[in-house]
Amino acid sequence: MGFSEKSADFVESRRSPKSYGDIFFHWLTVFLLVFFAVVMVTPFIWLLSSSLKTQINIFQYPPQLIPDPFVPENYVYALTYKPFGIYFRNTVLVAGLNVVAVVFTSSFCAYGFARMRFPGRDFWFGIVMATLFLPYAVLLVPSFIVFSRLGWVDTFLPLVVPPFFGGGAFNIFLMRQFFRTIPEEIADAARIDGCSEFGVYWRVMLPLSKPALITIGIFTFLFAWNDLIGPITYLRSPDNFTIAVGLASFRSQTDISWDLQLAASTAVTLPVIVLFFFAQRYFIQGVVMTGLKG
Amino acid sequence: MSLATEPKAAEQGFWLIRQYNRLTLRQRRTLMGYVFIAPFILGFLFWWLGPAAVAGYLTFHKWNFLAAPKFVGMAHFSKMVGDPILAQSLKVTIVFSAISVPLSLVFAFFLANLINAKFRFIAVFRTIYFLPSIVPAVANAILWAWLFNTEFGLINFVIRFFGGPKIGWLQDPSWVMLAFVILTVWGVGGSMIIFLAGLQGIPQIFYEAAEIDGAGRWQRLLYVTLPMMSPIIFFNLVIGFINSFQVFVSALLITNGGPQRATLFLVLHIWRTAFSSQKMGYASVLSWLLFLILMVLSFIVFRYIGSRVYYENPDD
Amino acid sequence: MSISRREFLKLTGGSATAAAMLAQLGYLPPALAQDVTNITFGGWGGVAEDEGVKAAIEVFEAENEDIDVEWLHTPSAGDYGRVLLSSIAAGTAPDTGFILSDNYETLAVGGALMDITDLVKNDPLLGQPGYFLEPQEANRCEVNGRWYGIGSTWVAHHFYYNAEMFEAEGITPPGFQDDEIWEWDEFLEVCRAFTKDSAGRHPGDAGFDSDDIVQWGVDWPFWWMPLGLAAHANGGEFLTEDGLIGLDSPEAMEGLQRITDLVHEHHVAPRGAALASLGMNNTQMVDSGRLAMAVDGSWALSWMNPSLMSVAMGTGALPKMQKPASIMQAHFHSVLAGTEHPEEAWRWVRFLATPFYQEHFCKIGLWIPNQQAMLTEEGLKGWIREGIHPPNYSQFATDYLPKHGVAVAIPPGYIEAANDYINPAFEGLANGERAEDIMPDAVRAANEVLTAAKEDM
Repeated sequence: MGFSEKSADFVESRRSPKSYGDIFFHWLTVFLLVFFAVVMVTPFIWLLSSSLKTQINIFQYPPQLIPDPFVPENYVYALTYKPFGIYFRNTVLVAGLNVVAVVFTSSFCAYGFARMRFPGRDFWFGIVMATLFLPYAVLLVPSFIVFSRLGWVDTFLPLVVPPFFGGGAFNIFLMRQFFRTIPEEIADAARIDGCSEFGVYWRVMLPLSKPALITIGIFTFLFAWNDLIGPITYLRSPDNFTIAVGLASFRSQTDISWDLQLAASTAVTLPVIVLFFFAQRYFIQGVVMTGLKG
Repeated sequence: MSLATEPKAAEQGFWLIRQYNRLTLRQRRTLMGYVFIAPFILGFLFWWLGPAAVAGYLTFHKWNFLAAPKFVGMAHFSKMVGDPILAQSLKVTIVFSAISVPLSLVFAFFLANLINAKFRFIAVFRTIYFLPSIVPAVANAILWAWLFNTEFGLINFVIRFFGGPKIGWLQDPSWVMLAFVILTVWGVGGSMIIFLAGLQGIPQIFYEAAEIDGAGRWQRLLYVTLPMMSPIIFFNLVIGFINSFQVFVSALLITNGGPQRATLFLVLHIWRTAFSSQKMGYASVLSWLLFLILMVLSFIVFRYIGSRVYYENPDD
Repeated sequence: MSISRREFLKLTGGSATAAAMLAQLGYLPPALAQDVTNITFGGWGGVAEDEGVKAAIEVFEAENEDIDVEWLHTPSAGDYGRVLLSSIAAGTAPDTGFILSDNYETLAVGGALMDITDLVKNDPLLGQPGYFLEPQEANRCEVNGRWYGIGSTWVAHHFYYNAEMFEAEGITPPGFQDDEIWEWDEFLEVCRAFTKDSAGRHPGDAGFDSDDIVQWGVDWPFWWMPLGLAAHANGGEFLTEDGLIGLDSPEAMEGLQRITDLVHEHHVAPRGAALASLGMNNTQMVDSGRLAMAVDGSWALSWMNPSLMSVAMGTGALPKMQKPASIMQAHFHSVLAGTEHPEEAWRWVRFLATPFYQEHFCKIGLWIPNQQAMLTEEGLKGWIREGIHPPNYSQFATDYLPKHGVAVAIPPGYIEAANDYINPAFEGLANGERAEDIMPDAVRAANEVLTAAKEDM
């Protein structure tokens, strides 16, 4: 990206800049945007470049940007060594169910905490927060025993059922905060029109919270996509493995096949990047548009 | 069950409706409130309470996973008081939290404003800014271990290019914390996206009104953006410090607590006490200590900072 | 409550349909043939281990048609350890599995592993005197005189060197025979000859800049195997007879100090190349001529070998201080105590201690045999491979290790003692602290942990 005169239309302003201050501010923003983009993209470039190198060239010093030799076969070998097709299907199933569960049940619970007044609400919200305080490490084995007794080990159930129960404290808290930024008048107007509380939640609050819902959807998907501890603890048969387990299988106790590991890491990251690229469009269609109609 | 019971069931249904109709408005609101939060309550009872109760029970027991738990009374609590490793892990965790939480919060807010601008290709920039949060933790760990490598790392390469010293980022106990803060701040994509979603929720009309009143950029930030964003800032603050107290995966992968315990975060210590030392009872005691710390901190934050948050539906 | 026949059929029909659907989704294991016993085998590993185990299962199942072995593969050893503990706690442990050497004794004493002493001793093949490399095998397998597993292999440290650099300097590299092993001072001289700063000056030359070294003599990592062997080489002990850490004896501390001095006193070894677990490995440094000698485990031969390196390379024994020494260990194969099929499980574990399985891993440079039959002239042909094993490599297995290899039995509590006290002390050594300043306190605290663990058992 150059900074020639042509790139002036890079900045798409609603009005033409009025003062020197505005012009300065525009170019400062462009500069910072590009500067931090370089900082943020460097690791991914490194990942991409390393994934196309031989094992021995990955840690060469000074580092090579363009791999020589260029080894696209890493991808072929990495993605056929384990049945990534099956892993992909499993992961999409688990992540998809998690997203559905979290988006609906956490917003549902959050509506109660944010918008209803009833005795015990603050006590229960305290409990919501409290579930964040105990580390995962100490709950892991007792939970494993519970799921073993239920006969759920080596099924997806331990990974997909719990999210349907409120979707986790993080998401409830996040949705609660977002709901509380929406003016009460909008909800009251709907109530006067005869909406029930469920109607206010479903027809008013959810549409107004698209950016927040997209946010928790992305987080949930990403977490389920990259989670290793859950699948490794609960899944046994190779046919049930998820992508994260497949990725980890390139490491042994003593040796790591870096070339394959990085090729596989890059490959499984791409779908998420594409997903995010498209999902982020919804960040401009929240209250900005619909809210003012209300 | 036979067909004969069905009318009875229907009768019961009608009975429920009659009961509901008898409720006062206040009672109905309460009922509706509990209907809304019911999924959480059920999940709490099914999946959280049982394991947490086990963790409570284990605080008074020794358990190595192999034999039945053995009652030891208060032994774990008295061990905790004089445990130098625990003291070190608390120090590491508190220092990390105190530095990384405010830095991450400010940086994430700044980046969110940057990618909230209306530029062409902004979708590409948003995606790039979120990349560090997408890459799997293992790939991230390899990357940072390489960036920070003393002899061959990119960071020392740049520093020495400008005539600086060779820094033992991951070897020197006095530098490694800074390395962890840097990699944490760099990975703020999550909070950034939450801020971005929040920024989208501020009606444009507020800015236009402020501009008409002659408010400059700085004043618009101060009097429109910050108050409107305060519930979201509050969220990121609370989650930020809870997460900073629970951090351990990067430490496990990159330094395994070292060098010389300089990155022995509390949860890493708990993790190792449970699964490496096979001392689940003591790990439970340490976990409840963390629970207590976070509860007190949360109480303080909700009480003193939460009360300054501006909500559109103030009801507290 | 009574259930009518029709409803019963509906219920069972429904659940059968549900079961079929679940099976479709991979939730239920396929029905088993009646006379085949299914046993599970848990383990970790990367690509090589995974493929090796699968190959072994294929051969074993062909020879034993009444047993079906299911491989439960958890990728990393750390995760495997945690999953194994969880499943033991839940009563769902696999029938057989890999056991890490550092908690083998803990699991054995804790009753999680089946006692196989009599099975081993009465076995027509394994029970023969001298079947295994002894006394090393018994040293590690016996817990209170009983066997709870069989070692999978041996691994130990030695040099990997860049042969072209040696040739250019006119230095003879070390070998594995007793008269080819360097004295420590000889080794130091060689290291100095290879170490250069960017102006080509060696350590000890006037104006040598230790912050600007571009080529090093040696890389000696700072973790328990390469440091522990230094204690033995200097006449000390890593672990004492009674299962305590012995790194605070004057001999051991002097041995450790010699390694620290390589970096901080003699400036012939790089700082911070110790993060081997994250890929900052020495392979690339040797390959590009920045490092003359790398100290690494024998497993590294599976990637640091003639066919994968772009320069000529070789292997040799580490230098002696008082005597030559290298620590040997490896994971175990065990039958879990909870198995319902002890006989079938033993047959599988026994198969893993016969040449087929071990040869598979020895051929790729990952393992060194623990079976005597594989160390004979005939036996060597089964696994020594040109392109993987340098010409002198078989001597490491046949001569060096039987004479100078130190098999360690890791006591209960060791992991905690190491995490909390010994590893931080090793990191202190890596940072240039003096062994005599930090080892005594660390060892005292670590031995308190070990003593308490022993009392617990």
